[in-house]
Amino acid sequence: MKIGIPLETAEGERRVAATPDTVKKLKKMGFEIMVSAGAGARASYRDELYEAEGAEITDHATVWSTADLLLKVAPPSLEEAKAMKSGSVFMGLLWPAENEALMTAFKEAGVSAIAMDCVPRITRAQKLDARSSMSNIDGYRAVVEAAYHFGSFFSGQFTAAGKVNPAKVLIVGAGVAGLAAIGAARGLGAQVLAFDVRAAAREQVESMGAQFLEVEIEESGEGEGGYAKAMSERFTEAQMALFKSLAPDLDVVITTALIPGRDAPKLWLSEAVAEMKAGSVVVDLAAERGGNCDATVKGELITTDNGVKVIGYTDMASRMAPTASQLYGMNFVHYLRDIKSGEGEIELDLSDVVVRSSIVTHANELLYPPPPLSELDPSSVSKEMKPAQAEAKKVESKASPAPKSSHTPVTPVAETSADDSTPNVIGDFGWKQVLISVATVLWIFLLMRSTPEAASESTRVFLNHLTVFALSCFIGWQVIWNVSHALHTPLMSVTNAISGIILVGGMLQAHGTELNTASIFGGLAVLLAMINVVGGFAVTHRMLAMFRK
Amino acid sequence: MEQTLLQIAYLVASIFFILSLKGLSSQETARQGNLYGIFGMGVAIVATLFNSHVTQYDTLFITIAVGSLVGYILAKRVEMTAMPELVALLHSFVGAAAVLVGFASDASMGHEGGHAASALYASEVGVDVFIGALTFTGSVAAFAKLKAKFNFFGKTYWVPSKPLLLKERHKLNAGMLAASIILVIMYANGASGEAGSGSLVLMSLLTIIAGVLGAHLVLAIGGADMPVVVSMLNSYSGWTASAAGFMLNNDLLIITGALVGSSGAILSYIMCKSMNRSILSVIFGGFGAENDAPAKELTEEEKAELAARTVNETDAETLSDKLLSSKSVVIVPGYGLAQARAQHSVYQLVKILKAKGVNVRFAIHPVAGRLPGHMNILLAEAAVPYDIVLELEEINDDFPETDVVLVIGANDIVNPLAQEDPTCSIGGMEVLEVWKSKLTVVFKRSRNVGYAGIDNPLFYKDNTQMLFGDAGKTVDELVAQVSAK
Repeated sequence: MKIGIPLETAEGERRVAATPDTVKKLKKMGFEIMVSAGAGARASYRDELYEAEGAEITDHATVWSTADLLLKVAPPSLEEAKAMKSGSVFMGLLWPAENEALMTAFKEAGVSAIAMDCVPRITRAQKLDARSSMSNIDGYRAVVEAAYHFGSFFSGQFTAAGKVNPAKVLIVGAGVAGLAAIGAARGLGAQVLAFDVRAAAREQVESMGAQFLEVEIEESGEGEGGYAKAMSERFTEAQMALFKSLAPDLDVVITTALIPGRDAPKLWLSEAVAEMKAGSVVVDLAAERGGNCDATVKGELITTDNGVKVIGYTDMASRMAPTASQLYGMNFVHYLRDIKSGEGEIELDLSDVVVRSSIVTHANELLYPPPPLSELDPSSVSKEMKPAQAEAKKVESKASPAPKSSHTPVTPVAETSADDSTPNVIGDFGWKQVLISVATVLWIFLLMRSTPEAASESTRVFLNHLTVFALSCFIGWQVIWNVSHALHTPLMSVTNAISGIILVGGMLQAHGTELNTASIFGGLAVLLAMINVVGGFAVTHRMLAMFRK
Repeated sequence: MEQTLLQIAYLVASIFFILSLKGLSSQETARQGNLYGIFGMGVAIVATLFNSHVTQYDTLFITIAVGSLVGYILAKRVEMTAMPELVALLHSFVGAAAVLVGFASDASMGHEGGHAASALYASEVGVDVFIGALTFTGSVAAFAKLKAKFNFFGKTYWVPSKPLLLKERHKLNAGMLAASIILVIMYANGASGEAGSGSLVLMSLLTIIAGVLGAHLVLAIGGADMPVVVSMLNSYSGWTASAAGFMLNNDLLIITGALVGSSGAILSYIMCKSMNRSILSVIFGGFGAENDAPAKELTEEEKAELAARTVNETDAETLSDKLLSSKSVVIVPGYGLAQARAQHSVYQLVKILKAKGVNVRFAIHPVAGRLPGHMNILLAEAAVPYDIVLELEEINDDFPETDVVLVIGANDIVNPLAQEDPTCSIGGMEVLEVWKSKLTVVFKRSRNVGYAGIDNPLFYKDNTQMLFGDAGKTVDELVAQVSAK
């Protein structure tokens, strides 16, 4: 199978789909490789280096018309796509939701097109997730650009000539790019603040050494209709107010918030920009999708009226073309290794979750959008999800960028794992439940048999009580089973208070008109039990009042 | 009609109790849960007051008022560190109340206003008294063991935490159980034989035997199992109420008692599982201790080796530098933290470190402290946000990447012997694997062994340093050092 690496023709694109290093790896897997002359030049990879690894250097048109498998960075032009031979495979960043015409062109040309940006975010596919590897570079580069345009040190310095304060950097959106930006800014010595709407991001942010900002909102109106909506409006308002109040102090703001398939949310409004000092820098990594900042101009660096520099470059990764190409090239190597069927051969198996999610056209058919992850292969998904979560946890603690970008909905992950954890718990104890129920039924049955001819009144009452008793035990078990460790003590003291219900027993002894043995004993019982009731509830109240998030 | 209303009120109360327990199983709803419980109890008391059977209002009002006052004062004044003792003490009240109710029922049996005498009824009374007495003395014993130190007339008495292991104790227990059963049967037969009260002598005898049994069961349990014991007693107090319900024909008592009983039993089960204990060994006491390998005769060589083991000591100043230069710090609190009341100082340290960019988290072992969830309560009291307080399973994998682990007043829960030596008394218990971190610093008052009474090889590891002294003072010193830098 012959792999083609074409010259990137999109404007400003410096990356290339394979580096000499990845060519070597592809060669080892048995592929033949041809590279357009000058394809790697802008990423500092000369043609000779490719040749040295065994690639054939040809002209651009030949690559497009003869390759069996074409690896590319930016989406191709329609002409390029139409030039491909039928039955060949195309792999690259396609953004299928925005490039319908291109999809049609692939479909009609009989090309199987794989969108590297549609690789699902599951553990197994992490090493071929091009979006993560590019976002990581985006985040780093954003800091570098900001530092370049910012007129001071990032780290504070005490010099003989005086003191310079460290730069104050705010990162909005703590996904892969955001976390990479935090790391880079921290590395330069800046004081870093970060914000994300996802509470889960907090730990990751803090593990990278940044301070996590919180929007302080008192929750109220709990349980009423439209709760989430009202909340989110108020939340947004508070968030904007927070940003605005911070703005005068900030030297650098880097926004990274993206919602897949939608315009970037506006987070850094003109009011906030107006509050910023002259000479401070805003880097908007969402510029491609309209930008998080009101002042952003796509692809350009502008200076606002009050002297704030707003950077809207959309080619951050391309600005670090050598490394970006290497990482992106490795994503291909990993992908091809996964779908390799023999020496230098690949097989597109549509039942594979990764292939199915990322393939957009195949055999003259449009396969985009793919079915949701959970439907693709429930068994493999649920197997996949658990390690994915464990991995995510590990990644968090390792303080390296987590495989989630801000606002990427990971809901399918959460749902599947929640669904299969519950049956597990019951599954573990199923046989015990059955055993206990059978034993109880048998016992009651035997009791009934042993008192033939209409069980006497008191026995009947006793059995009624027994039924109530057994059911209550069962309820207690069900209710308590999932209690969290942290609440064991309050739970115990509340049940302790509740067990003071024995005082009802004491009260029932207080009959007759004057004190007698029974009522004295009963009264004492009430006294003791009441200590228990009031003491238990009061202590629980004290404890619970202390818990806060 | 009145009876129907009463039943409805009882039903409402039961539902509120269920909601209360349900509420207590998650942080968000816990406070509501407590309110539900209070409401349920209120409904139950008021409904019972309206029962035509209840007439002596003056007695009831006085006792309820006095009881409430005492309970309120106790709850207000208790130190959070003394929670385990208080809970154990409160359990004993339920036991005592049940015994009193049993005696009252005995006194009124067959009389006007009392229950008609029958063998079934009398045996219910017997069972109620038995469980009640057992709970009472068991709780008192647990209270004494937890408190450990008493001052009487200027003299100080110590209650040992070591289990009381009499020879043949299982036979003794079995004997006492058998005797109790025989007494209940005799009592029941006596009651049905002739109309009238059962024998007070039999009842008293039963109370005494059950009482001895309860105390003996708890005293035979090792200190490390105390959290489970407290929770077990909680369960017993529920069964007590349930037994009283059978006796008094009262569904509310049966339901509530069963709820409390089963929830306590489940809590104990969960805890036993996390300690890798059999629940039976905890209930019957001393089983775990029996598995201890007999102290091996040490050879001269081993003795020399033991003597040669040394610990690395450190001081607050060196440690503060280490803390400031690390990225990730985990704090493992134990009962020593509670004793030293150091939770506020610790959180101050955490706040300073966090402000300086160090990722600080707490690792809580399920049985840290003397009560399940004890550490969570203490940390909550110091206003530590609960999202940095993690459980064993959540944090155990993170230790290899942790720069410094501070073990404050904990011992058995970080003992590697639990994994290395399955025959020791904590063998097989899940522990926090702090020794996998880059550096472990143990705050310890002295070189004594932990509550479980075994040595801890962690202290002698190369990547472990000891910081001897009162945890509270040491932490304060650390705070001063860290904030000065």
